[in-house]
Amino acid sequence: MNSGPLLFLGLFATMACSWTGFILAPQLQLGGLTQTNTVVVGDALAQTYPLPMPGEAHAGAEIYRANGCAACHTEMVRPPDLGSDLQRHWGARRSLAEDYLFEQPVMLGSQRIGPDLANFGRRSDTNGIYLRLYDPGLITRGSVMPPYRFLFETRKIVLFPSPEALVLPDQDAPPAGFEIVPRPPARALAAYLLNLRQDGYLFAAPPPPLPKTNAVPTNAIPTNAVPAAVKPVAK
Amino acid sequence: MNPDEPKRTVHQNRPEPVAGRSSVPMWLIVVFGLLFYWSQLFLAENAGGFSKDVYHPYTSYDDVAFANPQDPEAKRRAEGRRVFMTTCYACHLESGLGKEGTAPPLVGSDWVLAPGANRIAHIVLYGLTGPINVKGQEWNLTMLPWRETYSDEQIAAVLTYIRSQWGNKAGPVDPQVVKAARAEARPNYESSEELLKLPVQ
Repeated sequence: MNSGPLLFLGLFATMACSWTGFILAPQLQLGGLTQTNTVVVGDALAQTYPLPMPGEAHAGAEIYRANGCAACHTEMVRPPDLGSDLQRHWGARRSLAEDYLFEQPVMLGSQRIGPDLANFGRRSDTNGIYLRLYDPGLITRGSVMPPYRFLFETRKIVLFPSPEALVLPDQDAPPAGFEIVPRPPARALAAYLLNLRQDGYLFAAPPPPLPKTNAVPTNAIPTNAVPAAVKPVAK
Repeated sequence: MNPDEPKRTVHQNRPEPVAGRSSVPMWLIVVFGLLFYWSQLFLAENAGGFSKDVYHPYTSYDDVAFANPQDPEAKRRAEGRRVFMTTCYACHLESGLGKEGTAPPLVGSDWVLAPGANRIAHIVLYGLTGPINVKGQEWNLTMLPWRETYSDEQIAAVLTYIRSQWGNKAGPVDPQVVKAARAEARPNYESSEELLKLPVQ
């Protein structure tokens, strides 16, 4: 072992190179990111972006993390020529570093067993989220997502039913006189998911040029893709 | 211990093994040199100058700037709105109409719509106290000075914003006007008599 110092120097240089490339360079490049103004076309006013998460959404991020949602769902829209994310209406633009300014930790995910959720708040609503969590197959037939029924409770209806009670088809309906309502973790998770919106064009991802005709552009975002109505329970 | 096992001897005379040296083959150096050259070409082509604003599919800052809407005034109005919605709106309200007992209106106010912006710049920089006539109504309140909080560019942006918003139609404000007003180094809290002595540029 006569070349110990040389070996040490080689190992140190290897670690230093990767540290420079993976930690120092991104920190120098993106470490100073702050809120910016969105880019608008015409006379519309720019908005500050991104905005801090509301408190309940913060709590929901912990639920999202604790239940391993990021194991099957990503939160990143890929650029236009790398995959079909934009064609699937998963976002109006690609994701940027700014989008994750208030996320701690950033739950990008790596596998898309389920759809990307970067803009889920734009295409869902509270009731749809509850139904998906309670029985994913209700909304997407053949969904492989496991049900998260422990986020809900079945309770006796006292005086009058809760406005939050899930409207379920017969096979899932609770016994007569009972109702299924979301527990606080489900509410927090729904708040987090509704807060997932990467809307607003930024300088680094500007809006596409305006179409020259009145035709609807092919990359238009559907105004609100509310899940198909579930047959209400016959009372 | 097995008594039949032969006794082990220590090889006292055998030297410690030593790693030798040999020169790196020339072809390996050439291969690494070519790899390095290729990686530098790749970075020059795709790294976008390591700018934080350049993402795929753009390859340089100029590309991104070209793809953005070309309207510098919109950018300043946007910054002005951001400042306004951080500070000013608390008293003057998002509508710019102000509120009885809190702040006078900015909409249609002669102070805001004056051809030169130096008086209004003084108000934002140094604050204002005492009676002031806005749109024929007498107000007697106090506005805080903001010269420590915002830069010349930000104050010019917010002035541009309030002069072009809510139906107000007055020209944009050059940061130089704010800079000149700041250089006068007046004490805190202007009064309307002092302001009226200033020439409207």
